[in-house]
Amino acid sequence: MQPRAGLFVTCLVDLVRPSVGFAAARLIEAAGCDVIVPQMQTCCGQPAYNSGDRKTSRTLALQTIRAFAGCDYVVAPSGSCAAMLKIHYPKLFADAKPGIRAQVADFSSRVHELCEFLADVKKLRHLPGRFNGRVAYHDSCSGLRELKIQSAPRRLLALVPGVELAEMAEPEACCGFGGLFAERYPGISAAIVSRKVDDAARTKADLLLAGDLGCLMNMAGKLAREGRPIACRHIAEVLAGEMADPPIAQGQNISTTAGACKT
Amino acid sequence: MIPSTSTFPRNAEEALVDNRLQAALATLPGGLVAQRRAAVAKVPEFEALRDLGREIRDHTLQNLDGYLKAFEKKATAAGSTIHWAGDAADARLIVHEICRAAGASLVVKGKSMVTEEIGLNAHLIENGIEVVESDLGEYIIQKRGEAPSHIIAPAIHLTQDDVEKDFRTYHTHLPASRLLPDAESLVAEARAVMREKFLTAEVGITGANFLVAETGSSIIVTNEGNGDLTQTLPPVHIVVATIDKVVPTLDDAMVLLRLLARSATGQDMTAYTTLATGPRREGDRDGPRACHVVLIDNGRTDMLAGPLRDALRCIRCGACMNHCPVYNAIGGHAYGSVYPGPIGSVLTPALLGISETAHLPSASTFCGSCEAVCPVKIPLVTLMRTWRERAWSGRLTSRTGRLVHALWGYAATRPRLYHLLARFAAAGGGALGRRRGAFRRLPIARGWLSARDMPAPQGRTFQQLWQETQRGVPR
Amino acid sequence: MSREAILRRIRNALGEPPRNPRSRETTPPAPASLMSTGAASVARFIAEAEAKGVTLLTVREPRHIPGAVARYLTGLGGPAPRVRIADLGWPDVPWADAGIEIATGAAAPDDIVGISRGLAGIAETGTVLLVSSPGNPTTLAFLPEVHIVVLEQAAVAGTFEEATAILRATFSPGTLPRSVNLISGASRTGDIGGRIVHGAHGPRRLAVILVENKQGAVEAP
Repeated sequence: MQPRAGLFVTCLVDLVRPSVGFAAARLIEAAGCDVIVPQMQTCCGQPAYNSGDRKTSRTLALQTIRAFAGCDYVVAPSGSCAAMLKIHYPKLFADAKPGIRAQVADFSSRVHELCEFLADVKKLRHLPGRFNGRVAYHDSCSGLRELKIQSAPRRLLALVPGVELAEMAEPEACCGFGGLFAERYPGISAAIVSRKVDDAARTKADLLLAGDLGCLMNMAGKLAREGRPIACRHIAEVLAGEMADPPIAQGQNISTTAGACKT
Repeated sequence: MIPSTSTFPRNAEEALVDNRLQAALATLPGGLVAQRRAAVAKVPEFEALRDLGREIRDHTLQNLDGYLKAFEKKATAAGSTIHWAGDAADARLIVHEICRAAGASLVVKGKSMVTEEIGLNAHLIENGIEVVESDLGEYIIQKRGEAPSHIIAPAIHLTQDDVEKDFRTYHTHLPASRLLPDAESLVAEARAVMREKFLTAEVGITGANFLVAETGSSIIVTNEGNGDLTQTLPPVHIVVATIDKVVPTLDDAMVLLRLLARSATGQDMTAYTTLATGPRREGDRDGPRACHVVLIDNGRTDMLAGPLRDALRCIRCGACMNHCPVYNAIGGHAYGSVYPGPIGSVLTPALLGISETAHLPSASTFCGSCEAVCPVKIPLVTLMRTWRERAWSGRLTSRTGRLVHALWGYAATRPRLYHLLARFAAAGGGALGRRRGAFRRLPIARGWLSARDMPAPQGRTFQQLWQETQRGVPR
Repeated sequence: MSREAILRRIRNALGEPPRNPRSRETTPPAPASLMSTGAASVARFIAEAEAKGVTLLTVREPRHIPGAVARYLTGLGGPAPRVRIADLGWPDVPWADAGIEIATGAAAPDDIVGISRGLAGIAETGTVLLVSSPGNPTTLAFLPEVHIVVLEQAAVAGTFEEATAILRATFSPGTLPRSVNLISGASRTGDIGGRIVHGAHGPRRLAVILVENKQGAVEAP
């Protein structure tokens, strides 16, 4: 019997870009797991947590934990959501009764970010995706610094035939999203994302990839505002070959198929 | 300085369009950031050093009263007079009284953040005492009437041209026709001007990077040697330091010095690291005749009691701000506080209260670069989040924001309702945005849209689509 | 707020009962990558100091010091300046033979050259360790344009920890002279447009003379 992997969809994937969810599901299946998508999940709670509202954060945490009962793994196509579930949920309940703490610790131990799950837990060697072109990969801050995810995405990209990885000068530099930061301090956020997209443009990559839709929406939105050609996708889309939909922030009437699936 | 933390958003906007400042900030990645990286790469054990530095600082803070008393005992035995100041006002009075008793008309100063914090210079000047900053960067900004924009490189926001203009304006005793073609000539001029001050000042005031309990010594770290001239030539030397500067032993100090210079400037040692222990000894041919150490609380004991104690580990290296994307975008002045950058965002609310300073911990992406480079592993992101929690429970955040948050929270904790609303939003946004793939304008998310487009939803939610596939509906 | 009030606030904030301060034995050794011994130490000291722009000169015996100084100063150009020297610890060092006019005592503001006595060298970073005394005024290291430190080669230690051990061995427990200076290069600043310029307030140049001195021992300070 195959292990049951619960897909933590993330609120952004659910609302804005479901194709990432399908890509993640396809990859998790390729890794030999049954994919479960609990319906009683909404959001990991980061917006509340980082706003200082611990009460709502705890409510959402318990809701999430309950939703994923019975799953051997909890896999999230997002470094920041995975870090929230894995590292911050236990902190939210550090003062709780031992029973709750144990429950949270057990849940968190089953949480994995998607690339880390595929590369390090399941050691997937063959990927469904194909892409002929140059890609650059942005390391999202939470995935990088909280979950120490850096080589896993790159090792996976190396397994995709046709992919040429071109590193940015500062792949680890923050993109300026920071959740509500981009809305509250837009000028500062804009300055930070400008630096990031300039760096991406210098790689002359066809595709800018990352493991976090928040970062991607921020970078893609900036590139679109400036009319720059580099396309943005979630890394799962390339790894899974889920490239039929237009890249992020590009519409269906874009005549160039920059970033569409090329075989 | 007079804090302007409450106008942070406007400060930041001004900083973003200040081309001169932006040019100066652009030097950080190739400068202080690259230098630190190179220095750390040479020491494979650097991680272990960080852990050791953290342990030394934690241990000291856990025994702070004992070590302060030990320092006081040794420093007194060496001939120093120790003073204790509860707050900024106490400290200013104490220092002023020492200067008055010394008949001081001129005071020279080494670089000291705490003297900025307590507003010492303004107080002395108001009382008729001339104060001259001897650190070149501090001297330059003192002349300009500005606050430091960085704790290590206070004039980092200025160019050579700026400095030349300033020197020509202020050094009116020198011939106007003189040439100042390069940085060397400007430094030479500053050296000559300062020399005269060192030799005539009645009092020299320095801060302390560390106070060593084992020997009653204060340690200062400079590249210029200005601190040494400040604490050697004038007949009276005053050390001003907050109570968290004490370290137990000389060896502890050496570990922290290994971390400090590399983290701050990428040097393994600054040109001058000096331990000063009291006034001149019998037979000494130079050195001050009297030494005073002013130990200042000014909110530190309040921080000791809770999670903010970790912030007291700070050794003032500046690495956090060098690596901060926000600091790199807006510089130090925008924070409106003596301490900018991530450490400033944690320390300033403790010193001035969160209601005036809530913007500082709020204006962070929580990228964690600061924590990754802090030599004593201060959990800066966690501490900024702690301040956000206090701002939240103190209802200091915007009303509209709290309303939106409440609505969102109501829905998010009711999954069926949430998914229903999400379907509407996805459908509406998808329909409107499908052609272009992104929105230029929306009635919401004004901040986001001021700088970038908003990607449009694909039109259906993932939950919706997944359930259809589960029912056998092909995608 | 008085001393007692501050100490009380600290104790209240900390809550727990006071613990004993750590003893010296709990300090870990220096990182291995920074350690060196013997001849390797001397080599590392020279390399690290030179990397910081320090001029390194080696003489076999104390009586060769004036010649080395004369050659160094000639190399710098300009007229032969008067040199203010510390008590370097050896009798009969022949300054006059090298044509060098010497003065003693604290440095004067217009001194061009000051020569100090080094207590130790620290190979880890190419640092010289100076301690103040009646015969070794601190101002020699800061007022002149050129600073020279004379150091016995045998006094080059590997790490900072060894240097603090030397300090503890030299002075009574828990005491230090008025000034202990760790000097790693000449005075410099990067405060003007980020360019490094020397001679900000202290000396423009630093030289270290290593004395091999295989025969005689140096008198205590």
